[in-house]
Amino acid sequence: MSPEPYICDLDEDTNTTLNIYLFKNVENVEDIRNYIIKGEWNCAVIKPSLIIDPFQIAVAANKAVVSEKHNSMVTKTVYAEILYNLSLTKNISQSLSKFGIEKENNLLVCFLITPDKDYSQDILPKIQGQLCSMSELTSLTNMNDVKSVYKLNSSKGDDLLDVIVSRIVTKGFVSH
Amino acid sequence: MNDLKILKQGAEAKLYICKYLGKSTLIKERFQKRYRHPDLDKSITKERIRNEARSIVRCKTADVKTPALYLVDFQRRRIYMQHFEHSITVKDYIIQHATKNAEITQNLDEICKMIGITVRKLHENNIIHGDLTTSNMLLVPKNLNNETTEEKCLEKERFDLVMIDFGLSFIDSSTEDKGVDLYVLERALISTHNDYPDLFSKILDAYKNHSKNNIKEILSKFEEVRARGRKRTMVG
Ligand SMILES: Nc1ncnc2c1ncn2[C@@H]1O[C@H](COP(=O)(O)OP(=O)(O)O)[C@@H](O)[C@H]1O
Ligand SMILES: [Mg+2]
Repeated sequence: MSPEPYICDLDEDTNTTLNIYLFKNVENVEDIRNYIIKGEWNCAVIKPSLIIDPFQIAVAANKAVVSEKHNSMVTKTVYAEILYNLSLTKNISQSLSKFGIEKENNLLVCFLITPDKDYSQDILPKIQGQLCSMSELTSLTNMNDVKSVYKLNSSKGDDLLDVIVSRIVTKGFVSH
Repeated sequence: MNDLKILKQGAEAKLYICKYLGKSTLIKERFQKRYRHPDLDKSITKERIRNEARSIVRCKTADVKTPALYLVDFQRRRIYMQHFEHSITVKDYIIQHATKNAEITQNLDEICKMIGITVRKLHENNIIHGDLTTSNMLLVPKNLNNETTEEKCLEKERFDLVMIDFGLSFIDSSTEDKGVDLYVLERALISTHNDYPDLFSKILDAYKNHSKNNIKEILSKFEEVRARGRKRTMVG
C-alpha cells in the first residue's frame, strides 16, 4: 500500500483541501522543474529541507487560497503564492527560488483540491521517485537553514513551528 | 460557517471557537461600529488588527508567550489564533480558586512574579500592551496529560503565563508609556481584586528585579502618572 498524503481542509469559504506528498530520490527533477516553470503543472513543489512540519505549508497555502478569493494575491498563481507566503522576503523571485526546487532530489508536492478540480492523479504518476510517509519529513529538514530563512536565533525548539507560522501570516505588515 | 461556536461577545469583538486547519482555533472578529463613519471604522479596525497581530509576533522574540497566529484577515476583520482549551484567565483563577489558604497564597505569589517578569520583558522590547488587566492574561498548564487535571497543574506551578488582547498595543521606547502601562495594571487590580491589596506591589517587585535597565526613570514616571491619576480622582 502506498503512503497516504498529508491532508488538510483549508478555509471553509474556499472549499479547498490541501494534499501534500513527499518524494525521495526523484530522478526527473529537471523535467518537473520545467513543467512547473512553463505552467503546465498545477501544483507547488517545495524543498523539504526548509519545512519542519506540513502544518507550515498548510498555513501558507491557506493564506494563498484566502488571498485568491479576496483578489489580493501578490503573485500570479495560487501555487506561486504558497511559495511566496512561505518565505519572509517580499522579493518574489527570491521566495520562489528559495522554497522551490533546484537540484535536490527530495521534494514535497502540494495540490489544492476543490470539488471540481483535482489534477493530482494526472501529475503524481509522472514523478519518478519513491513516495514516502510524511513522518520521514523530519529527517530531511535542515534546522540550520530553517533558522536562517526564518531568522530564528533565540527561539526554543518546541515553539519553533508556532513562531514560523505566526511570521508567515504577518509578513505583509511586520518586518522580521 | 459550520461548527463555529461563539465564545464571547465583547465591546469590540466577537470571539468564536472552531477547528481550523485541524487545530483548535479562536477567531477574534472585530465588528463594525455603527456610530463611526464606515471609512474611519474600517481604518481603525485595520489598525487594531495590525497592532494586535504585530505585537503577538514580536512577543515571541521577546520570550513572552502568546497564541500562535493562523491567519490575519483584514477583509473579514478577523484574527485566527491558537485557542488554549485548558486555560483560565488570571482574573478567574484569583476569583474562583483563591480562598485564603497557604498553598493558594504561595501560588498567587508565583503568578505575581510571572506577571512582573513578563511585563518587564514586554517593556524591555518596547512593547506597550495598552490594556494590562488580569482578563488579558491566561494561565496555561504545561504538558497537560490525562492524569493531571488543570487544577493539579496550577497547584504544582507547572503553567505558562500567556499574554493576549493586544489590540491597543503599540511600540514605544518612552518611559512615560511604560509608566502608564503599569498604572493601568494597578488600577485594574484595585478594581477587580480589591480583596487582594498586595498583588500589585508583588508584581512591581518582580518587574524591578528582573532588570535594572532604566528602572529608576520608569518608576518615577509611574509615580508621576499615579499622582496625576490621584488628583483626577479627587477632583472628579
Ligand atoms: N487564545 C485564547 N485562548 C483561550 N482563551 C482566550 C484566547 N483569547 C481570548 N480568550 C478568552 O476570551 C476573553 C476575551 O478575549 P480578548 O482577546 O481579551 O478580547 P476582548 O477585546 O473582548 O477583551 C479572554 O479574557 C479569555 O478568557
Ligand atoms: Mg480582553
